[in-house]
Amino acid sequence: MNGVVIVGAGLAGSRCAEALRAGGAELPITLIGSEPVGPYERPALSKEFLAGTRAQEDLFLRPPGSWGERDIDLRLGSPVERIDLRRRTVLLRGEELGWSHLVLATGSRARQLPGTAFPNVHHLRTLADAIALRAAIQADSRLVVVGAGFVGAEVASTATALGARVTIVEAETAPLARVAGAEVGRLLADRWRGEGVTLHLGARISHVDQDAVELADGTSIPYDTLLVAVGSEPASDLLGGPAGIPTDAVGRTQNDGVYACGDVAGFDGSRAEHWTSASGQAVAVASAILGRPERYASTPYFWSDQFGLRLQMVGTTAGWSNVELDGDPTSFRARYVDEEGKPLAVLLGNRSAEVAAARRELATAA
Amino acid sequence: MSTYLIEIDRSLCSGFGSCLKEAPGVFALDDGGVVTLLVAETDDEAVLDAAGSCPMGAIAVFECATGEQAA
Repeated sequence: MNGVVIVGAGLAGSRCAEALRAGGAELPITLIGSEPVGPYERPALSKEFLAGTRAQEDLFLRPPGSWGERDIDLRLGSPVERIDLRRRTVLLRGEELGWSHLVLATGSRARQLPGTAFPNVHHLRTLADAIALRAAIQADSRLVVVGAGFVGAEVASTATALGARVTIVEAETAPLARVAGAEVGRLLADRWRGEGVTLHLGARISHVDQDAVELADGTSIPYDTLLVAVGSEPASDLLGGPAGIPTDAVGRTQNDGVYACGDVAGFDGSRAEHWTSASGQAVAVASAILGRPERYASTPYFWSDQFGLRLQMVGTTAGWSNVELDGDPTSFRARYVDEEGKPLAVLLGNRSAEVAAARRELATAA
Repeated sequence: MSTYLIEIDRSLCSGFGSCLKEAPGVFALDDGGVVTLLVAETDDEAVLDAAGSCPMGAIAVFECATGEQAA
């Protein structure tokens, strides 16, 4: 069977389908999503959608009719159960679909915390998760967020604005410490506390009850709603492993005709969970399928909106030895350099006008 | 009142459309969902908010009189 089957209808899968059509592909394209809704903007789930300022229909990446118009067969509501690499098929709702090119864009899923299977314990990954969380967050209710990463911080910010009383529990001694370092982490912690959030840093959870988080030091933190935001892992059940699905720089796996992009892909040796990488990798995969491979290599970038701060990071801080911090919790710039002083990354807080310059500097240094 | 020169980086645009909401007379999305400029210069201060709202940092605004970056 000649055709492209794309498993996963998030940003990566849908952008790949679009890029194939835009590049002139005449093959049949089937885009399969396990969620019952068409491709949508996930970043808004923790922000505008959760806040109630943006409606569900405004989350869609494209108008629902546009997929059919481009002859992209969108199949929603069921996950692919199995793939057969030898016979080149996927099994969907008991039906076998053949392919000449298979793109795996299954994304990632929220990591679980053992012993927290209670109805008022939430995760945030899908639109359905966000709808459930939105219903749970009420003014004056107590929300406890486990994990001071980006999802945790953004939900804490939105919930605070909705009038909830928010507590964040984090194992590290500062928020975002692994990404941004302790110094910047302390600055963010100051900002969050200033917005009324209670922070428990360096916290060890001993166990979680249905109405309270118990810490190893004896502290009991009561909650009405608990959000577990302790990171995500690649949804690599169909192929790959804990590090995702390894690919080359255009998204080819070691299996002929099989590609991966987005959160699930260990793309050219590294796995990212950012909008920009998912989008860029999807375009690279499309270029490979079209027979004119163009590798994806761009300066990593992501943003996060939290507590009145727009954080924008260009580059990656891995291997930094020194950080040059300028500013205060309302507006700052942190520049991460290696041992030789070579810039690796720039994190900006409410300094969006400096993003372009940061990109230029890092591109020159690379 | 200042006049602003707008620069967009289409290679960065992801089609969020936040700039259209801030300054609908200045920005539009093309058929591929990528930003285009309806005008090159404007005195509409909403372009400052539009630049700030872009999550990708794909918009820069300069003051025509001084050439200094305004957002």
